[in-house]
Amino acid sequence: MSPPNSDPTVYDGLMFVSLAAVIVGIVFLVMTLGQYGWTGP
Amino acid sequence: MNNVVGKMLIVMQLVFSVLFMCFAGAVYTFQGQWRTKARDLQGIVDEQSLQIDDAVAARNREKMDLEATLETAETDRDNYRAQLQAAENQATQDQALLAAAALERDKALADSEVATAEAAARIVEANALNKEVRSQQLRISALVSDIQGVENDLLDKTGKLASAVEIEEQHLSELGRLKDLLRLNDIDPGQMVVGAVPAQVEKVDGKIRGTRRNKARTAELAEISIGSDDKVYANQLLTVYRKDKYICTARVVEVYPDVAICLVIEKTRQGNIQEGDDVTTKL
Repeated sequence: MSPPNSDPTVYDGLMFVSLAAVIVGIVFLVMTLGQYGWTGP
Repeated sequence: MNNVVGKMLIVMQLVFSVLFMCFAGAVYTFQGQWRTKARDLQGIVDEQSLQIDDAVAARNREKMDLEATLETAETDRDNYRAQLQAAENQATQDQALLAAAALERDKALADSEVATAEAAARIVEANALNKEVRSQQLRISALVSDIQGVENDLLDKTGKLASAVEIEEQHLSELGRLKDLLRLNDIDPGQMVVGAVPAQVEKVDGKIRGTRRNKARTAELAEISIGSDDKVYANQLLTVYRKDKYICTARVVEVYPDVAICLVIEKTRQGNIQEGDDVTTKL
């Protein structure tokens, strides 16, 4: 039985890119809500 | 096989994450414009709401006014209906009165025809009476003028009577005075008068116009400026004088209306007579 391959692949990078895009989108939404007086939970 | 599905899910997750990020960025980018537009729209909506409120208030006021007007109009309508009803009742009564008046009119017309015929007869009679009245008026006018003449005569005679009464009183007074004077001179007032009584001598003054003597120069005649118009009569004695000097006495021998001839009484002569000397009936 061979050990699992733990080297990051291009799909791992895509996952990080996707995470960054989600974070940036959340930041945009928070800033938009801040324009309408939203102060957070 | 599992790797293929995982890879597809990863790619899809990446695609949707990128899309999410893009849409969030677009929302953040355009929300300011949307907000401004929303505020503008809100202002328009508020203004429209205010206009709507004002319109509603105006409508309510107009409604109240219209209701008041309607109430007034209904009141007037009721009043007019009542007046109309009263007028209809009055008209009904008037029609009844008109019918009665028509009956009375017909009756009066019949009476008036009778009265007209009678009036024609009265007119004829009145004309005759007017003629008689005119003749009577003429007669009355003549009688009135006669009465006025008689009244004028009566007034004249009354005045003359009053004057005569006054003169009579004066004469009675004078007669009493003369009787008293006779008694004082021891003369009976009731004594009878014997012989001619000379006329009453009134004082008349004149002038000597001229003198003439007879051939024997025994008598002198004088012409004087007074005569019978001055109540100088024959055989009247006149006094001739010049200022304060007595000249003579003359007797009237001939009398004319405005001239008289005198004969100088030589016994009384105290001077010569000259033209212009004064002569008088009584000194």
